[in-house]
Amino acid sequence: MSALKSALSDIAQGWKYRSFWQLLAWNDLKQRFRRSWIGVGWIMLAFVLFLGSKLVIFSFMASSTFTVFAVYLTIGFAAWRFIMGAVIEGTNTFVSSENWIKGEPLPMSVHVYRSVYRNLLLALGTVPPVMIACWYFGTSNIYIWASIPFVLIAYLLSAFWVSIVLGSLCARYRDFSHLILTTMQIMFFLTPIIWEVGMLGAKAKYVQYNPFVYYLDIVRIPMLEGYIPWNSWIIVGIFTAIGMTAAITVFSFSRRRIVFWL
Amino acid sequence: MASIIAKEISLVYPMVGSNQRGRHKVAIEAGKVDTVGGKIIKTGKSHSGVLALDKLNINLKAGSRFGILGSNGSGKSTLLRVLGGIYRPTSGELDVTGRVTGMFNLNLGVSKEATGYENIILKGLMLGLSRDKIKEHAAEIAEFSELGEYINMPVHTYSSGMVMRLMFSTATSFKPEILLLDEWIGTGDRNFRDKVDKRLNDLMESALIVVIASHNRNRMAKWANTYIDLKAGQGVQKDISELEREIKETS
Repeated sequence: MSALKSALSDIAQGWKYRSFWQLLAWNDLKQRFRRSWIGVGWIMLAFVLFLGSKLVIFSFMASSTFTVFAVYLTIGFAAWRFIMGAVIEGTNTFVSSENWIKGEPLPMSVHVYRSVYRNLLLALGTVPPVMIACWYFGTSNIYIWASIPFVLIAYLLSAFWVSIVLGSLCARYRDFSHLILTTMQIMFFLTPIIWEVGMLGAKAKYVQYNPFVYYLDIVRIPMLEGYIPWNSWIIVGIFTAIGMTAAITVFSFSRRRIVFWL
Repeated sequence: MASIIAKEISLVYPMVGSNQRGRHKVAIEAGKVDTVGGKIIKTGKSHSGVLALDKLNINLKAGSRFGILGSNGSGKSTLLRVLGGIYRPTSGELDVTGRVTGMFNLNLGVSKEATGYENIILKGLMLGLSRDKIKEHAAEIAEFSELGEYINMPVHTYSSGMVMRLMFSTATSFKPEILLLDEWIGTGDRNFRDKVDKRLNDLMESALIVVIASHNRNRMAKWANTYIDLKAGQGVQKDISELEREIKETS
C-alpha cells in the first residue's frame, strides 16, 4: 500500500518539475533536427510528403469521394502519428533518460512527462496540415471543436500510461521494444487509415477487435460525419481506466527498480 | 541543519537476466570474495546479485568532511549514489536531511547536446528557481569555471576537464547543503584545483557536508575528518587520525 502511495506522490512531485522536463523535451527535439536546414519543419514536411503519396495511390481504391478520402486520410494519419509516437517513444521512456536517472534523484515520473511532452511537440507539427485540409475541403462543424479538448486529454492520458507500462517493461526486458516496434508497423496496415472499412467486405467485422480503431473514431467521425461517436468514447474511457490502473500498479513496483535495469 | 544518518544499510545490485547456472553458481557456492567487486550472492530462486554494500553505519552532521576509500569495485561510487538518493538501500535505514547535489560521473546529469549555459538553466529549473535567478547564477558560473565563450557551445565539444569545471561550478553555485563528489575534482589542472579547494573551504563554513570518494589516501588524510575504507562493501566509519597512523606505519 505504501508503494502505491509513493508511486502516486512521485507522479504529483514530477508535475512540479514541469519547467525542467519541458525544456528537456525541447532540447530533445532540437537535437533530433540539429544541423538540418529545415529543422523542426521536417516533422511537417515528412507528414505532408507521406500524405501526398498515399493520397495519390490509395484514393483510387477508396469507395468515397476524393474530398472525403483526403480528409479521412489526413486526420487518420495525423492521429496515427501521435499513437505510434506515444508507443514507440513510450518503450524508450526510461532507457533514453538513463543519464538523468543515474545522475539526479528526480521523481521517476519526470522522465514519463518528458517523453509524453516530447511526443506532443512532435505531434504539433502535424496540426497545420490537418487544419488546412479541413478548411480546404470544407469540413468544419461544432462537433469538431467540442471534441478537440477531450480528444487531446484522452490521447495524453493514453500516452502517459503507455509510457509507464511499456517504459518499465522495455527497460527490464529489452526484447519487448523490438517486438512492439514490429507490432506497431503491422498494426498500421491492420488499422483503417489508408483504407476504409467499407473496402473489406465480409471481413469488416474483425475491425472491431482492433483497439486503435476507437481512438481514430473519436477524432475522425466528428469531422467526417458530424456526430459524436459515444460508443467509441466509452471504449476509449474503459481502456484509459484500465491503462491508468495498470500504470500505477506497474509504477509502484518498477519505480525504485528501474535504475538497476538501465 | 544538514545530516546523514545511515543504519545498517546494504545494497544488492540485481544481475538482470542472470541465473544461477554456470559461472555464477560456482562463485555463489564458493562464497569467495574477489579482489575487485562485491560478493556475488543469491537473490531469489533463480537470480543472483552483487552485494555492493554490506551493513554500513554512517553518521554525518553539518561541517562533516567524509572520505570514502577503497580499491576498484569496493563500493565507493555505490555508497556515494545511495547517499545521493539514486539507489535506495536494499535494507537498513537511511535518513538524509538537506538538499543533496552529487557529481557522480562526467556523463551523468548533463545533456551533452545542450550548451553549458542550457545545462545551467536545466539544473536551476530542477531546483525550482526562476529564470532570472538562474541567469544571475549563470554569470557567476561562467566566470568561476573560466569557460568563456565555451559556455554557449554544446557540452560534447568540451574536454573532460572542461565538463568537470562546468559541473563543479554549477553544483557549488546553487549552494547545496550536502555535496557528493566522485574522485578528486580538478586533477591535473593546478590553477583550478586551488579554486576548487578554496570554494569547498568557503562552503564548509556555511555548514556543508562534503563526501568524497577517492583512491588518494594521502590527500584524504589531509582533507577529511572521518572516513570509511571499503573492502567488498564492508567497512566502519573511523576518525581520520586512524588513517594518518596507518599511512605513517606503511611508509
